[in-house]
Amino acid sequence: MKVIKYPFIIGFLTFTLFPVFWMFKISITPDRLLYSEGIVAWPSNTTWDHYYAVLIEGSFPDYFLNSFIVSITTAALVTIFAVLGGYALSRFQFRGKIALLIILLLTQMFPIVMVIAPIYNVLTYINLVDSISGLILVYTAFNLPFACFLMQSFYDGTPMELEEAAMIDGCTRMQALEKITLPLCLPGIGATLGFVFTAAWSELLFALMFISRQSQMTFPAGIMNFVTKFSVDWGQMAAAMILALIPVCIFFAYIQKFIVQGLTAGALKG
Amino acid sequence: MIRVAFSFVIVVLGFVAWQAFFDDKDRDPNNLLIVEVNTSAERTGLLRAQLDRFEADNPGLNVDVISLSWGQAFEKLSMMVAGGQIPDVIEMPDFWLARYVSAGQIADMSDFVANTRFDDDIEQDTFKYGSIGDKIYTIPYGYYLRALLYNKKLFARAGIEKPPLTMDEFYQTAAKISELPGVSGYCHHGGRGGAVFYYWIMTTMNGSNQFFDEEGNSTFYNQGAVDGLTLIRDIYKNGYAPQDSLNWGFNETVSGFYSEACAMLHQTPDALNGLRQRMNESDIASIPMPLGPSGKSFPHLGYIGWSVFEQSPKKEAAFRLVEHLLKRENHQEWATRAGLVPIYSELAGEIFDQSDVDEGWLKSTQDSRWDYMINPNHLSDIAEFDSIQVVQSGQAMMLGEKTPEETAKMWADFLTASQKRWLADHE
Amino acid sequence: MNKSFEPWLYLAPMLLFILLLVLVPLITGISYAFYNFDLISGTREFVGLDQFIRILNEDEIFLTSLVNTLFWTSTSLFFQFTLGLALALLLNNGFRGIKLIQPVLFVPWAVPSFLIGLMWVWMFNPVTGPLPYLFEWLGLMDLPENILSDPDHAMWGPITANVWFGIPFFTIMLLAALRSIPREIYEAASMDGVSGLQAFRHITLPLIAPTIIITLMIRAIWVANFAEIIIVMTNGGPANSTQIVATYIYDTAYQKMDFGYASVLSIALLFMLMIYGFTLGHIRRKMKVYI
Repeated sequence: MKVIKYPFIIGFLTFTLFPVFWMFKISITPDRLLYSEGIVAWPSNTTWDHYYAVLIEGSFPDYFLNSFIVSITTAALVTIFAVLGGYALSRFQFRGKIALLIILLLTQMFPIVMVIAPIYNVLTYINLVDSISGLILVYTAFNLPFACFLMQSFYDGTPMELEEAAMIDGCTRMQALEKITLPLCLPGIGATLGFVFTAAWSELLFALMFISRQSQMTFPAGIMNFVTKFSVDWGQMAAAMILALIPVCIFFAYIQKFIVQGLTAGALKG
Repeated sequence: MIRVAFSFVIVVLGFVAWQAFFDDKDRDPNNLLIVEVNTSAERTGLLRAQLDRFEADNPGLNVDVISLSWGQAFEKLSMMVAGGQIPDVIEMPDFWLARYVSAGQIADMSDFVANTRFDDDIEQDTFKYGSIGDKIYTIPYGYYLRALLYNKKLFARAGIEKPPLTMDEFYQTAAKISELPGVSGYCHHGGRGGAVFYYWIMTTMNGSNQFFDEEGNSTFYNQGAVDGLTLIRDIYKNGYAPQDSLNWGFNETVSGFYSEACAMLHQTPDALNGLRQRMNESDIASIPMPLGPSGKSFPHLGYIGWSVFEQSPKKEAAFRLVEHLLKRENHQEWATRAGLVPIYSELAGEIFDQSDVDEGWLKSTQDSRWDYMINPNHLSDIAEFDSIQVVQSGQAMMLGEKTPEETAKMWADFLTASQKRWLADHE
Repeated sequence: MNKSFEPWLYLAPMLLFILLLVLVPLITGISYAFYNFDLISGTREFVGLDQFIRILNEDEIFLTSLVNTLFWTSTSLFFQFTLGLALALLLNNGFRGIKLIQPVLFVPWAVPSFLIGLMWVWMFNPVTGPLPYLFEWLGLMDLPENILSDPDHAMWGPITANVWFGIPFFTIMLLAALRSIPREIYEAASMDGVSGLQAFRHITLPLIAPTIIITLMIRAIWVANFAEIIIVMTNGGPANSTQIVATYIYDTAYQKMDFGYASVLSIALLFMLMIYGFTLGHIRRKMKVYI
């Protein structure tokens, strides 16, 4: 097992990181050398100008801040609602449940391009088009069905008996959920948080269609400014992309303790 | 834990409510709203400076700008219009115009043009280009004329002394350059936006810049159109254009040219801004598009103009803004910076000089062997035809899945049907 | 508290969001199918089922894109899932440096999809990227050419990008599921002399099966609907060889501005995804009994 493990890990790392390395290389290559040197592993001359332009001269600090607010808020909102909704789907049998599940699934099947115009109208109606609040609401709504399914599948994997025992001992349902079941579902909660955070962090289509003001732009929409009709500012775009990966790495490093956290011994019988 | 979650939700909802009720979105409903679609940071700065002067001349009248990025501008503008966020003034590319006019969204500018004095040397056809039927809907702010850019260094290396003048020489030159290792002759624009090259080669081989005869039948049924398509198909098939140019859009043709993957580029003068940043100017030169068998050539003339929305509550002010942007000194600044053929003919000499880089455009505008080809922009489905049908079937032809005869006939069928519908509606 | 009322209470906040911002727009979007709808003028004219007839009467591109959708979805999913599961098992086992490596392995999931497209376009381009030379060296190509303009193999370009992007999704979900399995079960099994492979087959797999099914279901639906990478990399070309239903819908809606027909296409796609969803849902129910 050991013998084949490390080559696999190296393989995965290479596949994951090589394109990122290539982008990093572009981000430190002076514009003039970008095409003229052919395929080389490292440019003959390097520059940090693109990072300087992105961080100091442009509006990217604002874009990153907006993206961060939107992503964190969306992730937290979705997780809170999905913890409740998934619980209802997992622990209760009720009329209309099958219909509800089908509707939730249907929401995932219809192409997003077809709903952009109607959503635009809804947002206009509540005066939230062109603001990050509108984005937060839309992202929350679109990530909820999947997050809810996910939480449901994690609840399904934890036994009801402990919870019921606690309720017999006098806990309310909410207390039993908080004290007994949720700790068991921490990996699921971590996965949901991470999943929704990145989904909101990298979303482009809604952000592009709903936001016009510079002050409300998220980073994926802001990055489109580098693409004009005749040229793409590859260096700055690559620099912005590399910078955008840093918060995500930190976020994942933080939530991985939830995901990786095993179950305490004896908490469960199979 | 539950209490923390609950408070968090309340705080977020509070923030949402604040943005819904109190954030005015930086926009004063009394201001004019202008939307630009061919955005670049530098040009936005220039536009803002010209708008500031307008505001200074018209106290109490302020202008807001929304800048859309070119790639998604068409989608986003339609979304804004459908959602009721209607601009007053819009930057209107030629191939979108019929769409918006047929939807009744664009104001008729005829009265405004009749009552406004433009300088005498304004290009005669300016108002004609912006018209559909007998009404003026847009006024071009400059022309995107095509010429052939070439890389002098690569030409010298391939031993070519004289750039091509005729279609045959164009083919021979492309072939000769392709003998250089890793270099192809022609930067083919096979992806979105490439339709006008096919139209150029078809009309030029036909010897006429007309798309239709009197009855509305397409001239692409003619043998010349088929010959034109055959020529470009052969250039690709024989490897005189890069293999991946089949997918290239604007960006890729330009980067293909400056990365020296290919040596000849069919482009508009505004591409020069990007080229100068990445190449030595002394390596770039331009010539007019090669001449067809009739001794004439019909380079494509595109334009983007300023239009006013029919639903704008401040049309008078909006017209005044258009007038301001087209004023001679503003126009000169605009056309020079953006690299456009100006609408005032006497300015052409100031914008294009005698250098090798500008020669193609200067000669195309002055020599009678070159006449312009204007897309049938009055057809409301021309945008989708250009960007979808022509691209897809053009690629199929280049790959040998369809013959040039089939392709030309398919395009002619589409255009004829569309033109006949238009003629019937405009009896 | 009334038992039948209680679950709805927990579902209420979620349903409020979904109703207002997903369901209402979705129904509006579906209704376009019955109208000749022009977004720009805002006019709509009821045409009944006319547009459905159009899709049945020889829409060649639709058929091509349908076949391409199948290939794109199944191939992407196969690689994403197998590689994602392999990686999850590796991470679950633990190794030196895992704390540092793990977050890095999740990075692709956080890159905006159009940037993923651009990045791989760059990698596949013989002027700017190393891949054509790698393929040549491996003997897959005679010359270092761009796979994206080869109509026979172009789809592999977006698929590679999509696999790169999608592995972390399966890894995270499956890893979380693996982490929810109590260790004691394995301890008990090993005491009974069950081998590692048997334990995987009879303990691990059944316990993570619900997560596998739900992720496969959701992910297939997303991949089938996922147009952005293809739009950036090939725009459906060359000559429709990478046209999937989702990109065709995008073109129909935003280039042709034909929202009516785009909605018909969307309903066709929806219908097929529903069949897939119900099949998997059925399997899931069966497996629950088995567990």
